[in-house]
Amino acid sequence: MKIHPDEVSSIIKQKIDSFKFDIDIAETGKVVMVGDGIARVFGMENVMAGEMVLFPNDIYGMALNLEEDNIGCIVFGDTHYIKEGDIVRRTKKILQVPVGDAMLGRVVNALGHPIDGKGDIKTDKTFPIERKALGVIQRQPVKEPLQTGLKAIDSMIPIGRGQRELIIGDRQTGKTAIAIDTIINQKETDMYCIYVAIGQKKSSVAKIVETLKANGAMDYTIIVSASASEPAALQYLAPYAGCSIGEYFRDNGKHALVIYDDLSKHAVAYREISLLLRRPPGREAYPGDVFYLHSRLLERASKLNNELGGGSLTALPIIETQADDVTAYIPTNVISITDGQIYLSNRLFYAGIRPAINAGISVSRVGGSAQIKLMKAVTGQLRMDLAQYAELEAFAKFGSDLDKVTLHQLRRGERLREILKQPQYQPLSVAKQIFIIFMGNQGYLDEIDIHKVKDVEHELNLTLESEYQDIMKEIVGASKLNDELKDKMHAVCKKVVEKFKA
Amino acid sequence: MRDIEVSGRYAKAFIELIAPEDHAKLLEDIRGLQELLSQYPEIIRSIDMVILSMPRKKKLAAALAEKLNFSERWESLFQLLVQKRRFSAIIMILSRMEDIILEENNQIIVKLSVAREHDSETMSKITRLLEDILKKKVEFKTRIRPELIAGFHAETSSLIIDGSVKNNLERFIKEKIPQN
Repeated sequence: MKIHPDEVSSIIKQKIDSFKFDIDIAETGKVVMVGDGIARVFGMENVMAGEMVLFPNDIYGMALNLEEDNIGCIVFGDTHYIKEGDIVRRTKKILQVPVGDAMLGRVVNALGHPIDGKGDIKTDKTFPIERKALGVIQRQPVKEPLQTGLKAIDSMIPIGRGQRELIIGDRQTGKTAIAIDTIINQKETDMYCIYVAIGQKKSSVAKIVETLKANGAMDYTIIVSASASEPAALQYLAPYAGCSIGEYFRDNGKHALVIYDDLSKHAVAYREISLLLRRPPGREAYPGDVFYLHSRLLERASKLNNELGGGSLTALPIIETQADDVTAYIPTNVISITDGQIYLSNRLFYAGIRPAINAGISVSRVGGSAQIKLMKAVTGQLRMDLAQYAELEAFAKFGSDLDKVTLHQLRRGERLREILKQPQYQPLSVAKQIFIIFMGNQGYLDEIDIHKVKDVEHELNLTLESEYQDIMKEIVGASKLNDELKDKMHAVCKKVVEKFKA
Repeated sequence: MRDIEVSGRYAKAFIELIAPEDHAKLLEDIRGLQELLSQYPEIIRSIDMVILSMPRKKKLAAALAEKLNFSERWESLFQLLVQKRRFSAIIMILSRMEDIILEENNQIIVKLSVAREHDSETMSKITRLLEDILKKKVEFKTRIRPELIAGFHAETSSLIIDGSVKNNLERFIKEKIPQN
């Protein structure tokens, strides 16, 4: 490419011509104390709560505490570069994050700055980090399903677009795995995903990025990361930033899913900030407004009415419990805010039941109306059967003393539980899920050896893919399980099971 | 932080003791003291010294108040500060007092930095501009800073007004030249 000096000089001339010499007026204050990610600033009497302030060395902060003669700020950068007496400027702006399609496939920090080494994000759109949740008039009830690709969830705890479904459980019980599987399952859909990593190891975030890349899920996903090594202020902001990025899609009539992994660490970061700002501690030393911290975030998830484009923002917050204690402060708060919870049990996880979903105490309060009709018809008694099985399981060791009905119930429950097991990163299509659950519910698996149930499922999937694509399409579109469709499904089930009887 | 709060309290209390019509005289005292203490910072250091006995410290402080308009009041203030081991806050207290008195007269002190000395016409232009912005009569504490190139930089306790060429060049670089 040839560079013409006259072109370059004309560009420079244009730039100089368009520049206006101006007097810069800034309201200022002085740093009187700095450390641990916060700063106290004297002056700036007119500063607004939540307003961005500018410290020297281009470090930004946010005014959180407005006191009689000073303000408490959180600092989004290294406080080592700020010293007592430094001048702080008001910006008169609320913190904003870049939003838009250009964000897709990128890994950004809590301020929306790229951290994946792929250069600048070319978008001129920004959204404020804190936005008021939409009102009642702008919303409509949840009515479209969000398929996670996990049999146990889509069948028993269905999630609708615009819903807030909590994933709760101890450490290492597969909470993140459910979230990642859900993202992967959105590959062929119109759903955009935002994964917000709060207080996680950078290596864990890198692993998630690699997994999503390997499964082709990064094309429609944005990762917001505020890792454990970053200031508590950034960890506090990350979910709000992720939510604003998701709201852009929702407000443009699209559908977005935002995963907050996890809000326990978010609450801990907020507790740290609050204690440093000398706000009075309450239960478990959390500040009094910790409920509002999460409710104002999760209320932003919504399904818009048709006049506003009908877009949706679904939230899957994650909470990590300590020793299975769901009665702790933060878990109970978030349980009460969300529209249901998926409870992951330590005991089930180590018993080899994965995903380790405890169907007994997991619930989806609004997802039922969003579940596809056929799934609803097929699953019917699944939750009840599993609950009965769990009750009877204790008697299983007395096998021979049990009556025929009980033995049958145990046999059925055992097989149902087996079919709900699913390996990681292998989400299933709805049609396949409906088929295998239908097979279990109709008793086709009762005579199959428990160790061969997985083989039957595998064979069923292969058969469906190779020979019955048309039935699979019919299942997804069907409004009810009519006799004709039922007969077709029975025929497929018989054909598959026959192979294992021989 | 605490020093700022404490000095504010002392300044307010002291001014309340002086009749409003005498505030101009008080301002003279304040400025005299400010000049003295900035010329001889060792005065504060000496009074703050641990090895100096309390009666000696009080004597030194009393000597400081001798020639002022309100010598008795000043002496009491200095004695109190010495007793409370807060004499080091005197600079902050004086500056706070100055602000309060000027505020009463709708005046403000502006730390004005200019690249070179200006003629009276230019200075009156700057004064008019700043008075328009601040809606107060301004009183300058001027400094020459050649690095500003041209224009001016004004600073009050809560505002920075920067009309210097240096600042505009920095803004030009930020706005017009892409950063990597």
